[in-house]
Amino acid sequence: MKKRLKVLIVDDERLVCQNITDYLEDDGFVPMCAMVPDHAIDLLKKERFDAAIFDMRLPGKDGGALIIESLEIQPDLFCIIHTGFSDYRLTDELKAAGISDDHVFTKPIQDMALLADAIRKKNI
Amino acid sequence: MKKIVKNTYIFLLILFFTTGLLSDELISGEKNVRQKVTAIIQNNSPPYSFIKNGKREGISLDILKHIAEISGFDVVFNYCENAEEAASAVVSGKADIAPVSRFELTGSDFSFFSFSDPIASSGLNCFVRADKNIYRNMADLAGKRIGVFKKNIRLVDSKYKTGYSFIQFDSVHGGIFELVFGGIDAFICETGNMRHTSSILGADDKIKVLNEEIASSEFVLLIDRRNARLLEDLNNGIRKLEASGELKRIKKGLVFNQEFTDVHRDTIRIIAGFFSFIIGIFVILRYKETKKKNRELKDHIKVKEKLEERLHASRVFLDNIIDSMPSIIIGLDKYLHVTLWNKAAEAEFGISAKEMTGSVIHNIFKSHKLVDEIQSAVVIGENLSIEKYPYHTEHGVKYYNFVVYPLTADGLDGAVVRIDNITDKIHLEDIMVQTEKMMTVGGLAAGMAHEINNPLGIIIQGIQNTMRRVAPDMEKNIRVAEECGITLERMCRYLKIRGIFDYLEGIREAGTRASRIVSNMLDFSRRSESKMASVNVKNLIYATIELAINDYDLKKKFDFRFIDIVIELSAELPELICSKNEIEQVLFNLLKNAAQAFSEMQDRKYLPQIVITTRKEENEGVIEVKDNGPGMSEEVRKRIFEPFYTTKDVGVGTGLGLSVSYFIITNNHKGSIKVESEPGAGAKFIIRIPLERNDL
Repeated sequence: MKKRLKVLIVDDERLVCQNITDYLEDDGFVPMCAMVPDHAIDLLKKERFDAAIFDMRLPGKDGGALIIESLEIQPDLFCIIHTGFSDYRLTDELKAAGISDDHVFTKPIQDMALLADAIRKKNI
Repeated sequence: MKKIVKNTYIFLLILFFTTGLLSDELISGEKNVRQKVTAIIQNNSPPYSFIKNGKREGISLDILKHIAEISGFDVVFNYCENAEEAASAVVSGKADIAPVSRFELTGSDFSFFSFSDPIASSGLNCFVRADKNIYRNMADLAGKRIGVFKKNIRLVDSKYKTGYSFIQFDSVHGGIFELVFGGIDAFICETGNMRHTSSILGADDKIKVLNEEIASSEFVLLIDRRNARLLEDLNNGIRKLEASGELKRIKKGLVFNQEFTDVHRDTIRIIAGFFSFIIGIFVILRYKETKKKNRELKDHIKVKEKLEERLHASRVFLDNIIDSMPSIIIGLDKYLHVTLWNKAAEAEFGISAKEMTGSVIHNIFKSHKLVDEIQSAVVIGENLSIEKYPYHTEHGVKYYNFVVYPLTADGLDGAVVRIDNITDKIHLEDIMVQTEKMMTVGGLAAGMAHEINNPLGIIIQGIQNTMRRVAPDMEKNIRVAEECGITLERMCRYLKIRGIFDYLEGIREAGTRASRIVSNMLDFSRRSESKMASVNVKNLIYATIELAINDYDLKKKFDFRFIDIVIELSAELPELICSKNEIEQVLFNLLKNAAQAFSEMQDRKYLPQIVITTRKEENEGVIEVKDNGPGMSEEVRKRIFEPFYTTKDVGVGTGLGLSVSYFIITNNHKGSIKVESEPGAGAKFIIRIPLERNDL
């Protein structure tokens, strides 16, 4: 049996979290949801995740900063950016942290299979 | 034969001189019956007395000769410099008669003299250049450079004591010369003399006389008061001359009487002989001095010529400055007559300086309020500034800035008006305001997009999950359905029959479309980030068409679905270095204009078509947008890229679309955009963008 990949979804919009969580769950992943940055940090400290999907505008914290912080906790965490800003540009700091344009998904994602495929591809 | 003639001449000449010299004594013996009268004549006082080609001429001589003939006496002429010298010669008994203009005798005691009846009227007047309308009287000339003929300087000085300074001129010629070439502003001289000299110089039309006469009097014959007999003879002679019309002729023509010359040949011979002798001696004595004087005079002329040259050069320079100003400069006198009208004014109002000089400014500025304001500024002497003054012309409204600077110095009241046409500037400001508005809308759209994208995501992903969770082939779905006591097949049948799947699919499609509109809108408004990059021409064109189809406003008037859009892409031009957003905006404007033009077509069978063609030409990428709409007239075609020019109904077009497009192509992309069109033949816009840019 294949290893079930653990994915953390960070988004302050409940229905966004739920949609992705449900989809990934149906697709055989083990998703977990965090709607505030602190919760995400707590989860990352407790458990190991294969991938994490970050919204960029979060209450109290910038998504970019949260990614950097998360990578300090789990350096090999596969980070995906999921943002509502259509003209989102990666900062130099995030690029330096190894995140490329391939990891950026702008909302709304027409087909969540794209997300699932990206995570699987990374973890083969 | 020739030699004999020559000898005869010499003989005659000798005879002439000897008789001339001897006859003086002979006459005194033989013709003692005739009274001898001495007249003292001024050397340089045309038209009364002057030397022309070495000959004495003038009204004084003519009249005295005539009177002498009528009254039966002989007249001998002596000469002096001016009227006062002549008068004192009469007082001292050196002469009997002195022809003078009475006003010239400023320093003389009149109680010694009698005067004949007036021969001519004679006055002292001030002359100015014919084009100087600003000078009307002596008050206008206070503080100006005024030349005075030296004979008249005493009278003028005594009359205008304060506020004036006068430059003395030795000759009327010199005065007229300086006046015409602007060295002096006015010249004061006896009227007859002035007229005479100016006509010789051919300057009659260049000068004019002020209305204010400085002194007026008559030209008369002055004699000793005690010599009543002579006065009677003179007046008698004048009356006779007047009655015969001879006086009028003398005054007018200054012609020598041939008959008179014949009769008085003897007298003339005596005088001529005498004077030839005197002059001969004089010439010898004065030769050296004359030579020196001549040299001085030549130097003087040279200096004067140089000064004139410099004066002329500086005038040209000043005129040049005024004419080179981009501003309209208008000089006005205090009655608002135009005194200066520069090239910019000529160009702006289409009236030449020649036409405008001297005419009132009301002819140009029809607004009474404006003219009144200028007038009051001139009267009060305060600067006046009017901004954005609208001026309605047949070509639309123009805007001007006015600054009126009153001139108060030296009694030369008036004003300088500076006018700037700021129509273009105002339009540019409007464009900037409009652009800023668009940027604001763009910024709002970007912020709004983020808020819309989240709910759109929820809709689209929600549908995706829903569809998956009713799918009959998913293990978990089957299991949960069993737990709920239903079968998936039946549920699906139900959902299908009740059209639920169609609704869901519809919601998904709507969400997808909404997200695309948001995305296109953002691309369109993202002006500040317009970066030059290599752009796929095909994608660019398709994206623009999609944007145009989704344009809500457009759908009201027509539908792109009814327009046949033909795209002919050249394989030679796959990519173009440009700002994607900006070129999209340009193409969008062209599509929108074409589509709006189609709505004017009335023919039912009409099939609207837009053909978009690309090609490579040398080092330019060419995009053509051609429609088969109604086309446009030449007038429209010429103005189509002008800001705020629109042929659309009020509220439909801003008149900015094509001018912004023009700006994007020519300024931002260093390319060109032009239109080919004729009424009824559609329109073709041709955009050219250089393939290589050095400045990037």
